[in-house]
Amino acid sequence: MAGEERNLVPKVQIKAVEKIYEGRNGKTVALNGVNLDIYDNEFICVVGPSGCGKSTLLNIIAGLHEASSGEVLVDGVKVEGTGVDRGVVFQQYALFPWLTVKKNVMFGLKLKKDLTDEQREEIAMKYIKIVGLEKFVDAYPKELSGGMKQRVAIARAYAVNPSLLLMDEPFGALDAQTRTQLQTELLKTWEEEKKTCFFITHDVEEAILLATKVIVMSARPGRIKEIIDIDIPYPRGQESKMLPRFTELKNYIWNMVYKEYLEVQK
Amino acid sequence: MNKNKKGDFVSRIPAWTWTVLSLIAAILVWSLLSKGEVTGRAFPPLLEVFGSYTKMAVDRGVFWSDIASSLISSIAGFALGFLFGVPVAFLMAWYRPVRNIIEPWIQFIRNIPPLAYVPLVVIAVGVGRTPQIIVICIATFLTISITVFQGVINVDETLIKAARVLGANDSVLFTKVIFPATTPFIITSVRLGISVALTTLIAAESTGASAGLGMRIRALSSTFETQPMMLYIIVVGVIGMLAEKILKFFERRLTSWQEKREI
Repeated sequence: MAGEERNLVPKVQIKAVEKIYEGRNGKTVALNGVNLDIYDNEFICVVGPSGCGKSTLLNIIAGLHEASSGEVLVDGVKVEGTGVDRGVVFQQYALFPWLTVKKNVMFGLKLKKDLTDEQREEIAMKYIKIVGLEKFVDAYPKELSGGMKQRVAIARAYAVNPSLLLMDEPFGALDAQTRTQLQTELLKTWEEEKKTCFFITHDVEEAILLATKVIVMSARPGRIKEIIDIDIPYPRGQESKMLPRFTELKNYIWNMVYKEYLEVQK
Repeated sequence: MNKNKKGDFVSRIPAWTWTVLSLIAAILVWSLLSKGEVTGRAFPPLLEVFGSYTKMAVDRGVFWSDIASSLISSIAGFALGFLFGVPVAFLMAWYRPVRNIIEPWIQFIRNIPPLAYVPLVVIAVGVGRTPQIIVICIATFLTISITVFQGVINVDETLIKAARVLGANDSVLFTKVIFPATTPFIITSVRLGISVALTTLIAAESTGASAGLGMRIRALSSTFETQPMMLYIIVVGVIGMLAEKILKFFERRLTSWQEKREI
């Protein structure tokens, strides 16, 4: 499945990234020579069995972890530590429980010195409206459901306007119904803004629904096994899952992931 | 297990009823004990206990000055312990060498009864108010620093990650994330610290103090004056309960964001 002609510079270049953890029981190779280019406006979904290093890879791109060798370039600049050009949404929501919804969304905005207070407020409200929580601006996270918390986290990540959005199984802890709803919303937002996304999931259906490209990672040591272009037409929605092509891709990818899963069990 | 349902007979009884019942039961048990030949020696009739107030406050005129003296020592000692304890806890959590240098000492001294090192303090600084404050300061410092330290190292890692990716540097991370996330632990440390300050009173005031609840309890016990001694013991307990009430007031305001089981 060849991609279309690329003649631009990739937004993200992952070059021979390796990650080795040294623990009490010796070395664990979490990532073993990962190479990947991500282009502007791509929505990359990474699937693979647990322990294949997909979260590690995301953390390295985010600058939260350091690669043991190799490097990651974002817009041609080597990643060293975190940066507001890369927003992250975590599976555990990671909302600041002592801040209201609005103050959570404004957290990153307050650290941007070039904004006035009115601008910060305006931006925060814009994204809170997009995720449909304008009635909860003054609520504390403990008063929100899991789905609402993740909406706040997404609004918070969008508010600082990163050029790359990293999402680490953001819907993994949600019930099926909420998950479906958030997928649809994320899809809609992406179709409008085309913000480059790097999205980790263990749900193959979710990956195909959202992604322009699905990356299948192999079990330990983690490496990229295959990159699959998803040629499901836009606009997509939950009904796209009914397309024969969707089923075909799903079976293909699912089989590959399952084989990797069996490898891990060995 | 909380089996109370709405409309349940038990759940319709106002909460204070139980407290009053418990108090009545305690008075009954005490009265029974005071009737016994053996138990009566330790539990003099309640009326006599409260009656001894006149003896202590009017005849001897020490009751209120004892309370004042103990409050001054414990508040001063506690305040100093808190002032040293909180920053040390953060430093230990932030810089591993600091932790490795200080923590063993805290663990070493923490389990030594204050009564054991009181003489050393007196030898070093002499008698009077100073050794009392120092002993209470040491005891509260140890408790507060350990509790707050546990709080800081238990701050949810993903909150720190989330702040970092939103552009927080070290100082923002500290003031806007780690400090607020630690507030519940700081409150707990205050709670434990107050308790330690009060339980250390007897040791602290065995330094040749001229007034104080702890000093008086020891003095009264050596002259077998059980009634006023009991009165003083009750006073210490009541001070602890009042301090807890005040703390609860602040806790509600500072940590209302916390997710708590509804009780």
